[in-house]
Amino acid sequence: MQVKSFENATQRSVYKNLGVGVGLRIPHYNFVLENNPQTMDWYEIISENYMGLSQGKLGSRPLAVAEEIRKSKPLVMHGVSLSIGSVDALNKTYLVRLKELAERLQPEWISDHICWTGVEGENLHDLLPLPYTQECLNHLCSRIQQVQEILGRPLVLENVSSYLTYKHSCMTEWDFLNSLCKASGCSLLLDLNNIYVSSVNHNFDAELFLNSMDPQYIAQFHLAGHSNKGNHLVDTHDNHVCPEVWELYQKALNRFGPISTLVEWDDRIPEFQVLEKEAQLARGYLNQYLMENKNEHSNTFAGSQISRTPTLDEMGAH
Amino acid sequence: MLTEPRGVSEALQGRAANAKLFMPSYLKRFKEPRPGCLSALEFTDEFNINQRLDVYAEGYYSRIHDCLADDFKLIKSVLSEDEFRELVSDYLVEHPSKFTSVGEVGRFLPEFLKKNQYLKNKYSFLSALALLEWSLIECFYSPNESPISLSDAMTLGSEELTNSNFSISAGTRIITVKYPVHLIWNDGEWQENIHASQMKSGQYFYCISKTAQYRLNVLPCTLFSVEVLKALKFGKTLGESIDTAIPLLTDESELQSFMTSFADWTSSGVFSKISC
Repeated sequence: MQVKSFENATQRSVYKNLGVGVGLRIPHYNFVLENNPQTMDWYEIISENYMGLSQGKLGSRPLAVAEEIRKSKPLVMHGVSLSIGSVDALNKTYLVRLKELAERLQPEWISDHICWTGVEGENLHDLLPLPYTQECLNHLCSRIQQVQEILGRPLVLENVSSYLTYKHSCMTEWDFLNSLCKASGCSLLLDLNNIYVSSVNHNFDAELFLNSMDPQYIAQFHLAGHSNKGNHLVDTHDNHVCPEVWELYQKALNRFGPISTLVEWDDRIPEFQVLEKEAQLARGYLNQYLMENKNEHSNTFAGSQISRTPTLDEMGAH
Repeated sequence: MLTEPRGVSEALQGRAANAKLFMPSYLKRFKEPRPGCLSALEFTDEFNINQRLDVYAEGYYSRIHDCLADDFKLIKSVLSEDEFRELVSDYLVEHPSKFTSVGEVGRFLPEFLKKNQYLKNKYSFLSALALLEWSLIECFYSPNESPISLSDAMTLGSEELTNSNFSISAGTRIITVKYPVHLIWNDGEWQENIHASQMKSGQYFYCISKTAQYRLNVLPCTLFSVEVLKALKFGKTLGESIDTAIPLLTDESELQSFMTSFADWTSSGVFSKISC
C-alpha cells in the first residue's frame, strides 16, 4: 500500500528547516510581489483561499499571486476544512482540489488541523476539539491514511486552541498527539500559541505539554497572538505574540531544535513591516539557539538573515 | 447549539423559547439543541459551560458575518447595522455553510433576499444588488485568462471582424435584474438621497468582467447586446451574432452605438480569444 512509503515521514529530515516565514494574506499581496522581502524565508498560505469557488476551476488572482511568489520562496499549504476528525465521510471533492492545488504550487508540505469543523455536511468554519480516546485515535488514523493516499504525500497536522474538553477523554492531549503520529505516520505542526491558550483555558502546564512531545514528530512551529478575555484566552490571531509564548518558543527550540517557524496574523492585519518585525524576533531566538548550540548545528539553516540579524536586545525582546 | 442565532444561553432554554415560528426552516433546523450532550463536557465555575460554548458560537457567527460584510459591501451600506446582523442570522438558518471556503457562504444570498418579505418591502432592489455583488465575486474567483486587448481587435479589417469568433472569458457574467443597481456600484455605496429615486423597476442587463489587471467591470447592456454576447458564447461569428439579435433592436441608433459597446467589452476583458 502506498502509505507504507510514508513510514519514515516522521523523521525530522523529511521536513527541512525553512527558516522563518509569515502567513501570506491578501492585504500584503502587492507589497510582497513588489518587494520580495528578503527578511522572509518562506510563506504559508491558507489552502482554501487559493482553491477558487467550488463549482469553478482553479486559477483566480490569489493563485496567480501564490504561483509568482513560489518562484522565489518556498510555500506551505495550510488548510482549515479537512475536518479530519469529523464522523462525516471525507470530502473527496475537496481533497481532489487540494491535490490539484498542490500540483500547481508544489508546496514543501500540506498541513491542516487535528479537529472537526462540522457535521452532516455543514461547515462551522471553526476548529472544534476532539475527545482524546482510543476510539478517536483509530478514527483519525484511518482517515489520515485515506487522505495521505489521495494526496500522495504525508500530512502535517496542527494542535488546535480549545475552549472545551470532554469528560470521556482518557489521555492527555500530548499523549494523544504522540500516539497519533506514531500510529498514522503524520507529523505535527506545533502551534505554541495554541498550547498556551489551551493551557490557560484548561489549566494545564504548557511546559509539560512541550516536554512530553516526542521531538521526532515535530515538523513546524506556529506563533501567533491571542486575546485575553479575563477568565479565558481566545486564539484570535489579531495581535503580537505574547511574552509567555516567546518563552515557550525558546523552550521549544531547546527541546526540538531549529524547526521551520511561521508567524500568523489573520485579523486586524497590520502593515507587512509589523509582521516582519515579529518574524525577526523569531529569527533572533532561532539564531540565539544556533549560536548556543553551534557544534550540534554547524550546517543548519537559520534563515536568510543570519549574518545581519540584530540581537534580541537590539530588537527590544527583553 | 453553536449555530443557534439567538446565542447559546437562549439555545439552552429550549427551541420554543423565542423561535421564529413564521420561518419553517428555523424549526426544521432546530432538532437541536440537546442539552443532555452537555454532560459530556468539562467546565469550571470560573469558565462555565455557556462561556465555553459562546466562544465557538460567537466565532461561528462573527466569522461568517465578517465575510458576508466584505463580500456584500453594497448590501451592508444599504442596511443598518442591526438589519445586516439580523439578515446574516436569518440567512444562516436557511443556508448554513456547506462549503469548504467561508468565502462561498454568500452564494444563496440573492435568492434568499427575494423571499425576505420585510427587507423586500423596505428595499425592493436588494436581491438585484446582491446578485450583482455575488456575480462580481464569481468573476473575481474565475480562472485567470489573458483577455484580448482593444488593439488586438482593431488590427482586424471589417470583413475579418464580421467573420471572427470571440471567445468569452471564463470570468464574464451576464445578469438580468429588475433595478439599475449599477448606479450604486458606480458610487461605491448606497446614498439614500441619490439612489432611492433612481431605483425604478424595469429590465436591466449587465455584463461583468475582469481585466488582466484584475479590475472588475460592470457594463450596462441592452437586450440586443446581451443577445449578441449569448450568440458569441455559442460559437457564432460576430456577424452571425448580430444577425441573430437584429430583431431585438429598438432603433437604428442602437446598432450604431453597439460597436462602441463592443469596444468597451473588449477593453474590459470580456473576451479571451479571437479566431478568424
